[in-house]
Amino acid sequence: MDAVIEVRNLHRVFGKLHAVNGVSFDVGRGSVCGFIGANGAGKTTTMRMIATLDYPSAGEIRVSGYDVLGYPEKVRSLLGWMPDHFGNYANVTVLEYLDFYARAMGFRGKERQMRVQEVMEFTDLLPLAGRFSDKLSKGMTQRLGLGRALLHDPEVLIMDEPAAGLDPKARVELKHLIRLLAKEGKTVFISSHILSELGEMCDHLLFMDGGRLVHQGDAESLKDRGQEAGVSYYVVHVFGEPELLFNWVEMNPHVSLVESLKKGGKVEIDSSDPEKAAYVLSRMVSDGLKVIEFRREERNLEDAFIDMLEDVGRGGGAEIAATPPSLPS
Amino acid sequence: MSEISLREVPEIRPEVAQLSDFSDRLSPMVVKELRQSMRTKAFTMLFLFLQVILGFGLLAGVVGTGSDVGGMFSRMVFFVFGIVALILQPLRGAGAVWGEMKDGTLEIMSLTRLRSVRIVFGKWASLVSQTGLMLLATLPYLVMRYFLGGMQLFAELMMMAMVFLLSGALTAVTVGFSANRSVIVRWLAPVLLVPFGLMFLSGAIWSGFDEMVEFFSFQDDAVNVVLGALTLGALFFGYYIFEMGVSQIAPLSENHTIRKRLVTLGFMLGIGLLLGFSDEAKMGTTIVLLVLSALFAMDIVSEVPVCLPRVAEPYVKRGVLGKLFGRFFYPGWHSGFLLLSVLVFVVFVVGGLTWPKRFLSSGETGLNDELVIAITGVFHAVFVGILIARLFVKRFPNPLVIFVGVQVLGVVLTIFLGLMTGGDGLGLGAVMSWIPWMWLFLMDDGDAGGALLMSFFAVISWLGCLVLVMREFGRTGDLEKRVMSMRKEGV
Repeated sequence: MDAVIEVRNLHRVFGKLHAVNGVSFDVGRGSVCGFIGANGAGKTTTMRMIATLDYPSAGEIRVSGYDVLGYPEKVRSLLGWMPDHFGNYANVTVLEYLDFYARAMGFRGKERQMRVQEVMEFTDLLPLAGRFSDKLSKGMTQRLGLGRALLHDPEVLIMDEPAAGLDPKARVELKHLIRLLAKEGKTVFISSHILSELGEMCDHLLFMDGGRLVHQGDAESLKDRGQEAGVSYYVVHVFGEPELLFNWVEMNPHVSLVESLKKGGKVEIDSSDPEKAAYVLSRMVSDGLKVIEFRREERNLEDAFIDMLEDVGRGGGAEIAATPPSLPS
Repeated sequence: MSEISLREVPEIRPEVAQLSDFSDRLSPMVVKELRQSMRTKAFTMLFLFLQVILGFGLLAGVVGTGSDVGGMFSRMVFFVFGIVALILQPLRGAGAVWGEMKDGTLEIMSLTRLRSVRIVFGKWASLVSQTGLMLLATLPYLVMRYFLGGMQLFAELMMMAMVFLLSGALTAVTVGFSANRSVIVRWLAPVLLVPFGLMFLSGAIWSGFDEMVEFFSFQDDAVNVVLGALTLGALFFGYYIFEMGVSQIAPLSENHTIRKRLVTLGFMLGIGLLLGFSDEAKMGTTIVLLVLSALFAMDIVSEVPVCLPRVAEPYVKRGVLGKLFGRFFYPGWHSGFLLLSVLVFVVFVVGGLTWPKRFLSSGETGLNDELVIAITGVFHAVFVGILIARLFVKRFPNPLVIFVGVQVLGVVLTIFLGLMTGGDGLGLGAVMSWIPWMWLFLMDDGDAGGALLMSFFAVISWLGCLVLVMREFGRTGDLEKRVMSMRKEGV
């Protein structure tokens, strides 16, 4: 893989908090890479270090081969940064906002106007050109932020929780823009704590927890990881009171209730073998349960992620576990 | 949603073409600030306030029949413009940089080609430009006042220029402080500015206007020197606080300290060499140098002692001399402290010039000399402040607040002890000389024993700081080795 972002044994310490703990990964050129983890997992800190906004306590980051500490200006010219939250200026129109950043990035004269117009067309901001930037909705603000990050046509776009707080329509628009950027050949490194949001648009996913990288691969690899663990999930609907099903589950050691539903429940069987599932179904029927639906459910990413975190918590092993060197705070 | 590629370039639309309203030569920050602030209500209201008041004043002057109608109108013009330029406009700078920090826009700007100095300069220049606009709007009234009679046009125009200069310096102070994370530091200067500004304006305009006009007619050489020195001092003070603001927001990849430190060193050495050896100016010069050194200490105390390889590289590649130079000019409080020690030496040479001579010839310590006690006392307070601020930096991450807090506590304790002893500090000095600012008693009493003990404590706190400095320089040594190996590898 031709890596555009290379992170090696990265650490960041804030006083007693080890926010990023021995993280290593690559992001391939032209890929859309998702960065997933709960709030406080260390995603934003890692992204900020890549974007040269913070510095590592130890470890190395390279963007297109340039070390972020040695060549911050070069790295900044290669990447666009879109933070999770940024304020807009009062009394400055959308057009003037983009013009300011185009000037700040060194564009002059006609070229500056061209760049502003291009990103406004790409992000569909032209109809909002005269509107004050602090009077925009969240979705419009995100498009403005994206437009600003694209002004200098960066190779890599880093987006920290771009969909947070967006309504469904704005989310669809954002996904559409990210797909367009991927088609343009840009590398998009995007973080979120909502897995379903990223699962369908990313080529590669990185999972962080407690400052460590706990898994990397695509969405399927995460689901497979659960299946390798030897469990499967079934939705069971019964005729009559669902408590009958709950009571039955309590009596059977190889089956456990994951979630209660209106007409029954979601159960976990301690095997991924379909024959075992058939046996469980036959036992339910023979024990007098009136089963009206018995359907295998694909695990969603959230469940898989939570299982994986529990697995890691039990000492199942992180993908990359590094011994932290002695670090300055 | 448009699907136009980033690389397909259409014709420029008329709404985008209007973006040529400001020249490309202007700093982007100035353009943005001017666009933004000229639309604010604050600017519009101030401008209208100025016009309405001056318009009514002129009308009253024209129909008035008193003997000094022209003089009264002049006073009114200066008072109103003074309030706007010396109080209200600088106050608008108090939240200037903090607003960008709070909204997260400063970080985004730091990813562009805008350097921190241009960001702060843009904020300052925009406010000063607006003050300039108000000055231009005021000048016609001053010219019309000429026809009311009894006016020294040149002197009053010079006074107006001085108000404008002072406004620029005060605006630089508030804008510079506005970059600090502590609300106390950000609002300290503006809070002091309002009462002191009004007192100064009331005194200078309503009571001493004629004397001021006389000063600005530049007839008296001694007054000219004082005016020149005051102007230079005010401009340097404004510049320094401005640079403090730049340091606060500068990313680690910028060496924001070297220019500021070189200018300070040059300014202090220049003043010291020019005036320090004349007996008449020695006292005044020493006080100015002392204030500047304390200001320098206040600034360096909060500098983060982290230096990136690319910042260290220009020093390292110049070998031993470069590294030695770096010990005084690398970003961080530790190198600043070493430079402060040099400044201390300069102040002692200027202020205590007669001290070594006396000490060598007659065996006197010179510690009953008021000036020597004052210098030692101020540096004692400064070193204690730095030592405490840096020792507790992990617990209290804003060292400037701790530094200022130590000074305030020292002053309060000194006043308290003064009250306890009924203003007679005799005997207290020796026992309590470890308290910063106790030198005020020692100086008053001419207590050489207490001063000697205070000097001892000053040296102890200096050594304490030096231990912390050496620890930081241990890391700098590692950094220099890393830079050298990077250079060898050709990275």
